Amino acid sequence: MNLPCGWKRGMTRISAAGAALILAVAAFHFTPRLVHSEEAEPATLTLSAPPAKVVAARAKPALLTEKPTGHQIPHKSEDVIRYGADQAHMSLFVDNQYPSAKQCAECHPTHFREWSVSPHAYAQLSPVFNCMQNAIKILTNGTNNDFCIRCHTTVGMQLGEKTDMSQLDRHPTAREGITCITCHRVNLEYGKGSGRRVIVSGDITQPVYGPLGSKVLQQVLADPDQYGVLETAETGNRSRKIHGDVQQFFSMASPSFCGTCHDVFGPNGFRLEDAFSEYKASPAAKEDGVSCQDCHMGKVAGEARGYVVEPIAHIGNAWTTPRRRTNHMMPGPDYSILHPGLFPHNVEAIREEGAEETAPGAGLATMRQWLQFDHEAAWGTDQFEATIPEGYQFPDAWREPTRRTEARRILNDQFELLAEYRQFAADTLRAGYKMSKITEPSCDRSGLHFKVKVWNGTRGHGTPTGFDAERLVWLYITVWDSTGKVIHQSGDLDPNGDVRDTHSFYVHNGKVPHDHQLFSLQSKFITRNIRGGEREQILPITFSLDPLPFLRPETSALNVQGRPFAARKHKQNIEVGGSRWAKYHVPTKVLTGNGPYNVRVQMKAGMVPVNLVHRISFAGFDYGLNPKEVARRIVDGHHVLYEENFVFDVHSRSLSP
Amino acid sequence: MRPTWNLTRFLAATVCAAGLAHAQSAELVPFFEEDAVQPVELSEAYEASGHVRIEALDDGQGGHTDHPPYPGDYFFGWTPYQEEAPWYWEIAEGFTHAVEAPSESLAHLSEGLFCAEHFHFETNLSRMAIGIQATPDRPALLIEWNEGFLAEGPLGDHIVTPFGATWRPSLWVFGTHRANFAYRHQQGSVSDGVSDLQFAEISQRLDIFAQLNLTGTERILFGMRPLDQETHGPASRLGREFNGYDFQGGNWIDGWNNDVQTFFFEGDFGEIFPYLDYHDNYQIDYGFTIGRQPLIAQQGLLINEDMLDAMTVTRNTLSGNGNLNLRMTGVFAWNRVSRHTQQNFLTVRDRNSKLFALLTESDFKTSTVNADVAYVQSEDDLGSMVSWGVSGIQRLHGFRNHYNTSLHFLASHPTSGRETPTTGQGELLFSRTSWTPHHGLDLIYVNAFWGIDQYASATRGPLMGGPAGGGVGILWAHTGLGQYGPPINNQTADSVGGSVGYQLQFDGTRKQVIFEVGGKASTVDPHSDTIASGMRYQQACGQHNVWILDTYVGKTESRDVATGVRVELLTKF
Repeated sequence: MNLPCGWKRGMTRISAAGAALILAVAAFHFTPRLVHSEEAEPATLTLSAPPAKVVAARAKPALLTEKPTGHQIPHKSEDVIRYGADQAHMSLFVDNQYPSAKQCAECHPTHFREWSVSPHAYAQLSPVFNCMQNAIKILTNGTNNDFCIRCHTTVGMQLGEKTDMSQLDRHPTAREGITCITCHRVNLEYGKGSGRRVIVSGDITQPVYGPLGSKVLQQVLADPDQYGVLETAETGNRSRKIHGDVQQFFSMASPSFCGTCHDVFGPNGFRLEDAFSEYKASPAAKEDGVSCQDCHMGKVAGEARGYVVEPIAHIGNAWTTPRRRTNHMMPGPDYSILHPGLFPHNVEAIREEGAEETAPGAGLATMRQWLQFDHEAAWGTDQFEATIPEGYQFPDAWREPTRRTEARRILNDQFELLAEYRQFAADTLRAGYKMSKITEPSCDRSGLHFKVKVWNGTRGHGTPTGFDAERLVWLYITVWDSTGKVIHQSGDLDPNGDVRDTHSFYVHNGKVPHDHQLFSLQSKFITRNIRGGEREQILPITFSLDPLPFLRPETSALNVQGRPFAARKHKQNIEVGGSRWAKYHVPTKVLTGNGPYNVRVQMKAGMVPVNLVHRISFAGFDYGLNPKEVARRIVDGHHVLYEENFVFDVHSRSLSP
Repeated sequence: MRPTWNLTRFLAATVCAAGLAHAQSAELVPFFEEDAVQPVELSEAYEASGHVRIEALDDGQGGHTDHPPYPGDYFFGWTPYQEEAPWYWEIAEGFTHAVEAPSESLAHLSEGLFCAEHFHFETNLSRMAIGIQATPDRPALLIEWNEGFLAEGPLGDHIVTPFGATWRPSLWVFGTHRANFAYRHQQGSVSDGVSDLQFAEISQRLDIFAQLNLTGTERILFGMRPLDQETHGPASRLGREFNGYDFQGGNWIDGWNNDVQTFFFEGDFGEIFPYLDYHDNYQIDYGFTIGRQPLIAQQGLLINEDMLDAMTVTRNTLSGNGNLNLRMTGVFAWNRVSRHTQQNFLTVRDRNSKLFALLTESDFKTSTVNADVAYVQSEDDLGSMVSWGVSGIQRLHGFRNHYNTSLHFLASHPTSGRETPTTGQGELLFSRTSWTPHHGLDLIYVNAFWGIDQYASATRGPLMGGPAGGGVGILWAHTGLGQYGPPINNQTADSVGGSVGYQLQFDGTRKQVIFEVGGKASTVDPHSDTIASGMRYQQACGQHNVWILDTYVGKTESRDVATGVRVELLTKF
């Protein structure tokens, strides 16, 4: 460095002395331990005031303006103004800037119904997601911050909400996750941006964006006799508000629009999900010209069979003219484990905290009140209401039998919609996974043998894809003898509800044996060890290399290595056009001699493995849930995609057929 | 003949490993000795309704809603069996069991030494609802302009390029600062005429980066190390001088510099020009970089360079024929290729050479395979060469545990018709094995290498040392700060070596202790054999700092005992 010699020498001494001073001071300085406890302090939980409230109280209030200056908003002075402001009025103001799906539902009831039960609608409500992103944030010392949640609630992040808020306290539109405006108020190409795209703010009368433009809207606006007098941004106050324009944004129909959130890689280059990249290299893109939307928003779940032609809106008392309509249910591997009063989103169900019960459009109960409604005890059913035991205690909100009956009516609708979704989700999964019959059965002195082939049924991506390191798709094998005694299993679950793979805590702790015959398509997170290569982990946090995992931009080129130095994902899914053989062996020792032996093979799918719940549980679950209950609901939701049976007609241990 | 023979040995070893991995046809015995086969009586409805019965079990009748203790009442009423390990696994796991034996004692010792609680996982899921726990606030970067790094709140201002891409230029400044006090003493040998080596120093290092972030895929990264300067010794020998104070010599060390350490652009062609593929039907998403950048291949065994002027092109996420995820990168580097010689432990800058490399990584069902080749073309006496490497990284499922393994085979061949100090002919076999004992996140590792003749990496930076520096053990690695070099010489030519280490986690994972023993023997010079043992304690403090304490004791054949200790404070920002 070309500096004056004396200055240079002085700086050298100062800096070296500074380093020595830092060392000396730090030697006596033991910083208090960061909030990082794997064994978090238990807290007493009451549903009327969940402990999440404590966290939520720290959260900054919603913003007065769409985009104040600086990142650490609000500033001190703004805080004072905001806390002094009328909360209801402020909520209304923000509401207007980020309209809720419930406002859209008024004219688009079919879209709303489909979306309300979709994984997009569930994205931010999911207790597993929220716990996981909080756990990762804690384990990365705060540095991961909004990386995960930016996709899950773009509105919430744009409003500056804290990442660790309870969903019960979020802005209603933020709670809706991937809501209507998350896509229909986006007007720019953001590319592979891990969800970091801007929602154009504005009340319901402002323009929205769609791939087909405003032809239908212009028909509506031009025909007040049929559709009524409507208020747009250009008109004065009218009785019914409607967006004034639908500006054409063709990119919304392109796969890259989905890729903004479905190609997830961190600023350190970690490729968490690469569904869009898989698609771009697939025959569906190169040869068929089939888009993501064609399979996932079309007539048939998971297959490109065209779109329905239907009216897209119901305005006044009339439906608009039919045209191509996309399905917004987009079923997939996720399913709800929430109280059915909270999900699917239901205009009649939820009343915001503080809102008057009699206010127009207010739902039946607040989210906290719904959490107190014991639907499993059959509250509100005729049978229950007719036989309530004496002295039975109800929470204040549910003392009135009429409210319980009304709640039950809403829940019946919810269950019906959930069942509909579950069917479509299973159809989608079946489009992705194919399973053969039991093939090549044989028996010899070592036991029974058979095989099953599993292959990828799509041409657009691997299966599983996306969050494939936490997608559990496996084969469950049961063999029983003629007396009904189970003699052999693979793919069975441990007491926590995990398959017996290396991530099972029962297997890891040596309490049950590893399932050597397990056939699973789950990819694995791999982290680098301080020495000794790499190992699988449930979360891709690099503990071994560093006691202080700290996320910063990668200092080497992201795309050369395709991943950061310290972590990666080992893909173990099935590629397009690929297949796997699952081979099974039932050893002679377990045969009882009571043949014939029945074999059943089931392909099963769960949204996440239970070990993930276990690993993240120190960060705490929302809605007053405990890890055991979360696991139970996840296991209850496992899909059975296929089942095949076979009978080995052997009658003794000697295996003579 | 020799490379062929070595390749044969490598393949044989690979086949053996693969055999172990896939040996899953053993007989079954009850997992618990006291448990005989106790199949469950299923309900009478079973035979009539087939799978419905099992579904009823799946609904968790009994075991599911009320968690049973194991082994009395297994989840769905079925007791799994531990397969009987074949003889080769018995032997292998007997070895790992023996290696694992001291870990518990070391954990107890460390608990006492560092007043920390050894970390372990509970087996059962908790029934306690603890509510959402508070998370630490985001530690802001030194400078954040336009948009915060992973910050909540509105995103930054954007521009739309003429090509249709949306960029949000944001400037982020971040880095790390390291400062340490180090003392080392190695007694000389009168008989060999080797004098004492002793030093005590304070040194520091600052790695500071400025990133102009444009999108999720495009960025410009600029980096400097203003407190440690690359130095050029005799015959262009490279080293680095760290700002600090040398107590032995009583002098200040000047490392101030304004050299550009990192400066490159990287992007994705398809993302920069989205209009070229409006319907996403073409495969134009080629990643590329250009500029000065660090580069690593074969986990540092083939290429380990911190400062390479290079241009790269990458294709990612390709699949087919059992290959689940292929990445291919072509590299062309010029101007400042660092050449390393194992004979004199020198690194020299070859300004007249060029490097061409093809780097690949593929995920297969059980393994991740890296196959890389690099050609260094030199116009001076340093010579041209080809270096290549193949590695397989996989987990082997044993019967007591599962094992992380990686096996590397590397070779180098001079192409100038003769060997030079930087273009040796030779091979390197490198093996890493590790596993996590039950209940926790601890790690036990056993690493070994065998260097046959003079294997030479294509390029190695000045502080990287020999190929064994990165992977064998902490005793072999340069700390990257000051003069405190590795206790065991990390060159691999004509030698064999290995390390066994224990990494133990305490208080969650924020306190760690690593114990390691290692040794190296030369296959040509019996007087240079070395054995050493060391310990590292590292502790995260708050959100930014890590304390590191390193100490070792070692003995080289022709010298007396050597000792060293260092204390480091690492700050991330």
